[in-house]
Amino acid sequence: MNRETAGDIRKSSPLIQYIKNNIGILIGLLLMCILISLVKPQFLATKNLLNIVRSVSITAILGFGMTLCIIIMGIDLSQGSVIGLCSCFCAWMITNVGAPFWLAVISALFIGALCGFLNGALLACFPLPPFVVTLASQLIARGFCYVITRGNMINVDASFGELGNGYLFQVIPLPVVYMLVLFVLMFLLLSKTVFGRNVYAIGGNPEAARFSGINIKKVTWLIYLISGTLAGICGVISCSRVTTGQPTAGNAMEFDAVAACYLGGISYMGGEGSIGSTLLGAIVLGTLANGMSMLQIPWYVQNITKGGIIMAAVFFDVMNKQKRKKI
Amino acid sequence: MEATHSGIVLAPEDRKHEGLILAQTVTFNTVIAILGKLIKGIRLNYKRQEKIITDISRKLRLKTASYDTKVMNLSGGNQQKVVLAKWLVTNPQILILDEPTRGIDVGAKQEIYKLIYEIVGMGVGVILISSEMPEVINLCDRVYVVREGKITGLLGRKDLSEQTILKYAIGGIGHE
Repeated sequence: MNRETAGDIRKSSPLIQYIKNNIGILIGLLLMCILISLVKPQFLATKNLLNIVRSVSITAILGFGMTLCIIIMGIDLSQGSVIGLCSCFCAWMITNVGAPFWLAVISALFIGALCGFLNGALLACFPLPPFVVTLASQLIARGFCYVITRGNMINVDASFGELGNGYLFQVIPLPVVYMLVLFVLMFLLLSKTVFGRNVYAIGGNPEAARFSGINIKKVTWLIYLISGTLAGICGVISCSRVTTGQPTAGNAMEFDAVAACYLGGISYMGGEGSIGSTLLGAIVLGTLANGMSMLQIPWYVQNITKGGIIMAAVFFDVMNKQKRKKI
Repeated sequence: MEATHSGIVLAPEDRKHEGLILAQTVTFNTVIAILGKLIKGIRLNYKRQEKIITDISRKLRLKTASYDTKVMNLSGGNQQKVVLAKWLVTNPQILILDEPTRGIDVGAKQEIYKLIYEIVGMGVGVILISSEMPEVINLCDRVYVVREGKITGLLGRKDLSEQTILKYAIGGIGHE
């Protein structure tokens, strides 16, 4: 009997499992799409849908990194500023140094990784609160944006724009392609590797993880390194999208990433959550923004709605947890 | 951590805080200390994992609806068995049990005692840390009495009694 039940659970395919786990948000997304398309049929046009996924891709990429941080009960508030820093650095390398594109991109990614590395070093080696550390590094990174650009924008040769504005097979926007590739990589990393399991173990119970011989320091360090690198990728994309390095690029983007995580149902208590649900959360946020713009709802009302939805998502998460505890 | 690699493992006293990841499944908790052997890159050796878990849970008579049940839904005794399972699958040479029966009902305690005998039968040396007199007297071959961080007495199997243990524990009445 015991073995049979064990078998049954395993038999249900990962896709069905995914739908079951995210049923609430999926229904919400569907309802939202139906409602918006009833009022504005253009919403469902291929061009508009592609627009949504493109606008979603940066939030999603950031969200993948944020997911790791939140699972271990941390947070990376420096992501937005790291986007700005990498974007400025990339533009500076191209225009002021005259570096070839590939070198500029690689060095910008390196800067992103370095930011993550430093965050990780502080958080892994000292018992510091992630919120405060990354808030501080947010300010520092934003400051460096202005140091590099001296407060102005740096224009980049228009041909660099291909990287962020181009299309694969003339249909799929390139940022979406990057996002999908990173999605697969991060998904495999979190759900299939030893590293991924260790992340869940640390998030679930750091003490038990330590007693089980897991190197908490190394895992924490790597998580922030990954988060920084992903922010670097977003920085390069956003630099290419507008072909300028702007010191304000990526401002407050980290909050969209956090929102995507919580909307996707990642527990604020740590130890739970998946890359797939973050992607879904980012899509919901993007669809919401796009739909409301189409319905000509002013941006300040959009913010109110967004905030309300995030609050509701966390509220239901907590209520669910308490219900489970009672049983 | 180094001790884990050399075959000495500790099942800690406070299993909910130090031993288990309650929100994860029986499988997750059981193989957590041997993941390196089961996963190569992104490939999980599913058959081997399955075999390890069925073997150990049969040996420990673990009662769970499935191996995908979350540990928080198990009874105290079965949770303790998952802690034991986690360490036994690492093939330890020495297993340190710190208060293994704390917070477990009487029937399950007997079960844990039986298991400790069986674990010893498998060739694992067990160091039992306990403050329960009957537990110590019935299970141990040799007892060190520790008082305020110092070993105050060593008792062999034949001198074991509540009185002698208490004598050392209280502080050597015999010496006065």
